[in-house]
Amino acid sequence: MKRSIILVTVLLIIFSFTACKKTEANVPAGDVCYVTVDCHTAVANAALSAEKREVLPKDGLVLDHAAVSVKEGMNALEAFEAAMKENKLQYELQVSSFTGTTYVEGACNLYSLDCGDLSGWLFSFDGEFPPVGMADTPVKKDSQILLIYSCDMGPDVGYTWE
Amino acid sequence: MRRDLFSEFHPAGNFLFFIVVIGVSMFVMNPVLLFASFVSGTWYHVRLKGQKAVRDTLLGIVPLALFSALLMPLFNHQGVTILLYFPTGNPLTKESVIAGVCAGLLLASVVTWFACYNAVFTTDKFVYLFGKAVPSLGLVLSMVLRYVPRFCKKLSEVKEVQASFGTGEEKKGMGKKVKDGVSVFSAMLTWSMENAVETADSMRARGYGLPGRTAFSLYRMETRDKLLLGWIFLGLLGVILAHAGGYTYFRTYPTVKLAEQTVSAVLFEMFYFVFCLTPVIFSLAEEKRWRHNAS
Repeated sequence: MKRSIILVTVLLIIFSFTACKKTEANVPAGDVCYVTVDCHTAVANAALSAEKREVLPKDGLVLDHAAVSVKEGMNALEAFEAAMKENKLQYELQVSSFTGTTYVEGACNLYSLDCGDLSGWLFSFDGEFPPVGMADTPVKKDSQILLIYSCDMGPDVGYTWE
Repeated sequence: MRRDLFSEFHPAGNFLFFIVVIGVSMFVMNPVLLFASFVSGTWYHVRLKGQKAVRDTLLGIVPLALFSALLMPLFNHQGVTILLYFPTGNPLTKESVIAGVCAGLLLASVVTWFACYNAVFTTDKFVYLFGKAVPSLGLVLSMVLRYVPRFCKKLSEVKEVQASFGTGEEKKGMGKKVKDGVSVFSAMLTWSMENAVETADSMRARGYGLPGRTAFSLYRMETRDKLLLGWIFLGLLGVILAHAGGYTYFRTYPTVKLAEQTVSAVLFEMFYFVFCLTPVIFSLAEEKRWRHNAS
């Protein structure tokens, strides 16, 4: 009798621990950064094919300030990947074997060149377009990571080439 | 090859049938039609070649299709249903797996139909069909089509001869290997050019391409051939109309979508299956009649 009570208690404790862990995963504890994936320009573009339009949200906001817990030495690419995996969203990366840089070819099945020759994903960090890639941008607490789809290489989302 | 009724029809009918079936398999990416094409192609292949066809299909064509089905999800990451993530970060999607299976099915059915084509459409038929209208092109094509098998046969012969010279079996370094390979290749190159020139000269000496020349095999356009031609055109027309009507619609990215399986769409698919089975039906009917007459 005593044994079974101990067993049940132990099981209950283990169960409650696992339950705790689950809730922890959903709402990241500690320092968080925010990932936004926005393709409103693509949704507004007539060149986007009907089948791609089906899988994109109507307002183009694939992720709206999704919270990702910041780990030591984390970069923007890792934060983006974590946010996409958390929400079970598709994305495709292309790693250049020559320079070793990573290019976000597509996210949520929206790929570069889907809305004309000048279209593709742009990376913006804390409201600016940094001159380096996502993998070279370290994230801190409350960093704002934005992936925005442009149909004309920047101007339609407020980025100009210098 | 076994005796086969379809092979005894006029070459024009044979040729057109293969053109239509292989063309549709190649250009209309639809799993239902591809499956129908593959099943009927394999059935006909087995009726033509028996055991050898079974072995070729199981050991050659199916592994090839599986390999291509496996390759697709490794290089294509589109699709909305994510099964798992690769270590590189890219996802494995259900859609890419389905696209891979369809591509494998396409490859398998085209290869199978070409195997049937090779058994049915012999060189003499080819020259009969094209020898008058486009003599030089017909000859070149028939030479090209039998070039690879002849080349392989001759290659093993040349290798054997070279081995008997002492360049063969014993252990050798990379440099020696390359040197021997080059000498075999050079012999093959000379042989194939000489052979081509010889064939062309020989054909000219026999008056190939001159008016009034007859072919080795004689075929007449009989009523049954005309009916077969009509049936093939009907099949082609049916596929074109169904394609225009959207019955063959299929896409894999970003979501898998097949044309709605309405009554008319299913009827078309059945019609296409019967069309692909035409040579098999001929062969079965012939066998039945043969047995009937024998008893």
